[in-house]
Amino acid sequence: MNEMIPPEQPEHGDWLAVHWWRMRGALPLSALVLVSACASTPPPPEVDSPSWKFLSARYDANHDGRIVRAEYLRSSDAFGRLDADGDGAISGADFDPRWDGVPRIEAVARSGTSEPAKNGRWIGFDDFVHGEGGPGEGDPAPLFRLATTDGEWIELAGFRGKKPVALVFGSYT
Amino acid sequence: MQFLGVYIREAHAIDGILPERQSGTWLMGTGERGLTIETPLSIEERRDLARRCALEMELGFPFLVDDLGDAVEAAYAAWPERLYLVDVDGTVVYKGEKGPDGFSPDEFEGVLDELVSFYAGTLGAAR
Repeated sequence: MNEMIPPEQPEHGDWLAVHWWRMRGALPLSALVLVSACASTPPPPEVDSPSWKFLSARYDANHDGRIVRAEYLRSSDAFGRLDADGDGAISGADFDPRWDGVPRIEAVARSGTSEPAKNGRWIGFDDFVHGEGGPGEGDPAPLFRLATTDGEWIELAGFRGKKPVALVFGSYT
Repeated sequence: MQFLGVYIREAHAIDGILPERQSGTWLMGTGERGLTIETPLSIEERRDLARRCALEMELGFPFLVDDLGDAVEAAYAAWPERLYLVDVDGTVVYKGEKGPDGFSPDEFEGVLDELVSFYAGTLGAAR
């Protein structure tokens, strides 16, 4: 009777020993592929906001849909004001409708909540705009000397005894 | 009557205190005008913005530019916008409410009319 001798199969351990040198070389590469596949997040949803488009075009250097502090080239105060939800980056989510009209009086470290809170960080628009200050009627008008857009210097005191002055304070936006 | 405009801190710079949120709903009109403005960081930038503003609004009178420390704005508590009328003797004759609700050219015109007729009356009496 012929004995069927199965072809010599290496022990499991042997198999590993035989193939390990091959795997070792390949492993880092496959590991890399695996890791990068996990790490690439889907692109953030498109946000229809001219301000976000303006900011991302200007500051999102790596085009990942988030402007982190290092990418934002202006002040930390401004960064804090723009990062409405306080997640440490300026992103499309900071231009969500719920932030419409919310004043950013202070923008320091947040408590972790993304809701506007009444603890000195966010205050009502009325409180801010209608705060007291400025000369009252009958008070002397504070004097000043400023340059015009053409570079001409004008002093308020120069009109005293000559003409009444209408002061119109405002900005572009 | 001398009109003087004073350019102060932007009311709705996107990185400012009260950005107009641009979620598609334009609250205060800057979106309609296509304005996305960052806070000017130098006096030159302020002047440039003030110039653009004066041009767009066809301002017919001098436009002064407040310094970066916002000193004059603070002295007059003028942000975001405000009207004052200063009499010949240097005292405040009219102090408008802070804008935008308080920014009332009509009210201001009323005060101006009163002032003008007062002076006209004085001149008439002097003759």
